[in-house]
Amino acid sequence: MTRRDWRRHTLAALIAVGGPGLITLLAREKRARDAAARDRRRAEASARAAERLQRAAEALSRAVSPADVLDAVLTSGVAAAEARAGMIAELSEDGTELIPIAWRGFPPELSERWGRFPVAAAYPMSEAVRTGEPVFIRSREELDARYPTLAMGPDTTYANVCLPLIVDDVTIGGLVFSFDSDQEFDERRRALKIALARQAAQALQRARMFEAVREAEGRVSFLAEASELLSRSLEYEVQMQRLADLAVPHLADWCTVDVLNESGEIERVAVAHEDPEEVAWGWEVHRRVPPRPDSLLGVPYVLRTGEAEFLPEVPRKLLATALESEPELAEILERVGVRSWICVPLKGHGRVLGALTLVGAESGRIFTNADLELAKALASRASLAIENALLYREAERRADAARALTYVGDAVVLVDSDEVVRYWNRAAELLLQVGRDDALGARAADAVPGWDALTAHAVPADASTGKRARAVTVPVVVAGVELWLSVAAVDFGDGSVYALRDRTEERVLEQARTDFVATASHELRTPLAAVYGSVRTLQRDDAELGDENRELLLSIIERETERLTEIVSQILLADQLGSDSFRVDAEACDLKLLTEEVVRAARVRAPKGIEVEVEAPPALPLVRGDEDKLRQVLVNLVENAIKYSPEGGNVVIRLEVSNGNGRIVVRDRGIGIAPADQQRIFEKFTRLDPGLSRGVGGTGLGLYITRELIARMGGTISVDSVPGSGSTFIVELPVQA
Amino acid sequence: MLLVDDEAPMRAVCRLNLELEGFDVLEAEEGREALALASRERPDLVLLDVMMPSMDGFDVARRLQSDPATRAIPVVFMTALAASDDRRRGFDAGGVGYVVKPFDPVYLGATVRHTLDRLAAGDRDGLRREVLDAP
Repeated sequence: MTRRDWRRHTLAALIAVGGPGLITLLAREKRARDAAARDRRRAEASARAAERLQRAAEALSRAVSPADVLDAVLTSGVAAAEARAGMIAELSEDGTELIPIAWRGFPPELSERWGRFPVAAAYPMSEAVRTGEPVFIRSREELDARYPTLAMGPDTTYANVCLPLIVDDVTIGGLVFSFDSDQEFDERRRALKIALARQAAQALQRARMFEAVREAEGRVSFLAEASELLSRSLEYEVQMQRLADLAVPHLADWCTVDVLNESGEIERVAVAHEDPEEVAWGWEVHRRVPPRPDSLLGVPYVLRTGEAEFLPEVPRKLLATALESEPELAEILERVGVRSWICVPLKGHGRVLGALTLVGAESGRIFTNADLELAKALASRASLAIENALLYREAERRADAARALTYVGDAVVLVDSDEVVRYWNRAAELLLQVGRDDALGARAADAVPGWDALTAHAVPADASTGKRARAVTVPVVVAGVELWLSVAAVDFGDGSVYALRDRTEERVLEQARTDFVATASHELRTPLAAVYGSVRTLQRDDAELGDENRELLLSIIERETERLTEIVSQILLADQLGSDSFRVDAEACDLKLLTEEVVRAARVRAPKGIEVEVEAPPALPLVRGDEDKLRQVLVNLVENAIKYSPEGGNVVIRLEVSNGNGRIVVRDRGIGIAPADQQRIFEKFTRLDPGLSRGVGGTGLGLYITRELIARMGGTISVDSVPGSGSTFIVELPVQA
Repeated sequence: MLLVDDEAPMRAVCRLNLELEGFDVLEAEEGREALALASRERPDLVLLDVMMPSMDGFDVARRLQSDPATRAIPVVFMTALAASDDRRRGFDAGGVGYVVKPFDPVYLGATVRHTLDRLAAGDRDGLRREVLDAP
């Protein structure tokens, strides 16, 4: 039995049962049938709507990027809403405007006419966003009546639904569905559209967050890469070029880095572009048209003010106005095709070091705030790198200079304009006998012995004139010893550098030479005066001399001439001893015999009051040496002993054997030699009495010659003396094997 | 006349020439001996070498000056120190004449006589000029 049969059968049964209730029953049955049909239709529509909503939800969930979401909303969403067209607008950052970001199904002229519009406007979308409640408009009549200022124009739009896009109670924009016929929005349809909007909002937010995360990750890895490459070099020119290369084309079409060099000029250190030819052009154009420091925008402006310059969309008008004064630059910007511009300062310790520039050009990219932030982050890393590089460079330079100054033989002292010591090298420590720690920070007058004398003589040369500092030699007492210091000083504005060199030895030698000339001339003059005087006297014809006097004068001439010869040969000998070609023989010499011979001659010439004695053991081995030279040694020592005993006293020459050497000890009771001078006396030209006031004759060569001769015979000489009590010279010579 | 010089040959030559000129000559070979002789013998003039051991000539001259007994005795220096500074030192030490070695001893007597004449005439400044202005 079919259902119809069952119904008919039931009906027949009812009629058969009869009665007046039958008609009523039939009418009721019809109503029930109609309701069921309506329910069925409604259920079917619901099922279709649910299915469309499901499809839209699926499409939205598949959408990853904001663009995908917008696309899903405007295709699946519009279909689900049974609408003809749709539009999505986002709320501007400040929340005052709505910016349409995607259209679908509207005639093109409409989407062109609608730019951004205020949230405060009397428009349905504005109202929906403002109130957070959907706005349903059933017909064109209703639209025109409720929103007279909307002025939709003669298009086919009839009904509209404007829905706020809200996520977590925050409105992010609005969604509009447009229908091409008047609509009735029952509860069910309203609920569906609200659900659609909620899903769209969530999907859009999710996509934006996803994109933000991805971008952030990109930025983080970009910055990490930038940091890494910056740490790889200490040459900031290299670093900056690598950094710029990293920035293109990922971040910008062009990237340049400029730094302020030491003289405050703008120096370009990096140019990057994907195309190497463009890079070459970039360098060339920078050389050809160097940036003008007073320029009103761009790198010079940023370097001057230390402020970032951000022009997301470079206004052509501004460019034209600002560049009127710089037509060449305008040309360059035109050639580059600048669309978007970021220029951020590179700062270190409050100082502007340079500028990093990003240019959006042929790619049509428009920089965002996020790009500006990225550029700033990049700039802070670049600044750090440049500063490190500069510090390193400075440290290297100082280290080089300091190293050089440490090892330089001259004492180098730097004082600032307050005459406080700021540098003190090792040689200064040694020369001036003041440690670095004590000198640094001290007043120069306290740290440098004889500072006043030094500065009185050494006038610092002005460094800016490039004139060489003239060194002067000044006597200074350091730790109780007089030193002759040559001083040269240079004034460099913030202070002065003093270079001090110990010239004491040179000074002593120079003085000794001067003294030698004086001494030698006196030594030559004395016998000469006697010879000349004798000759002139012999030539007298105004008086009778007598044979005895004539004989006396002739013997004076003879003796004094010999003396002259001896002095001259001593000078020549001293000169020869300086050269390697001087030779001595090594033969067996009888020391005793030689000594007695020398002493015999000395006794004849010794002044009264001086006895010359010899003490020797009966047997003495022969020594090895050169007889003539050994005789000269003995003559020198004995004559010295006599010469420096002006008050008289005996001179004793003792011969002995000691440690297998033949030893000669010559002792006098004369004036003696101060301990400080006991080594000096064996040096060339040294006389302990340069003023000659004592009148003790001598060329100052005697002991030098003596020491040299003994040394060449393989022996040694030393002295032991107490001033005022006499001197003892000890000569040791090897015994003849 | 007192002749002071540590160089015996020099003394001999000077003495011979001075004696030929008729002067009586005393000799000393160093400062102390010279001071003692001057004080004891009161010579008319001292010919004084500068460079001698123990005590130099300038010193000897100053000591002669400071002793009232010898103050009046004029001193003539004989020395190889020819610089004008040395001559000035000589005068500052009280000298009235200055003979630079090597000199011609033949004229030594004439120099002594000239000096004594000038002093007798009270012309000490003239003597001073002669020596200091010499080339």
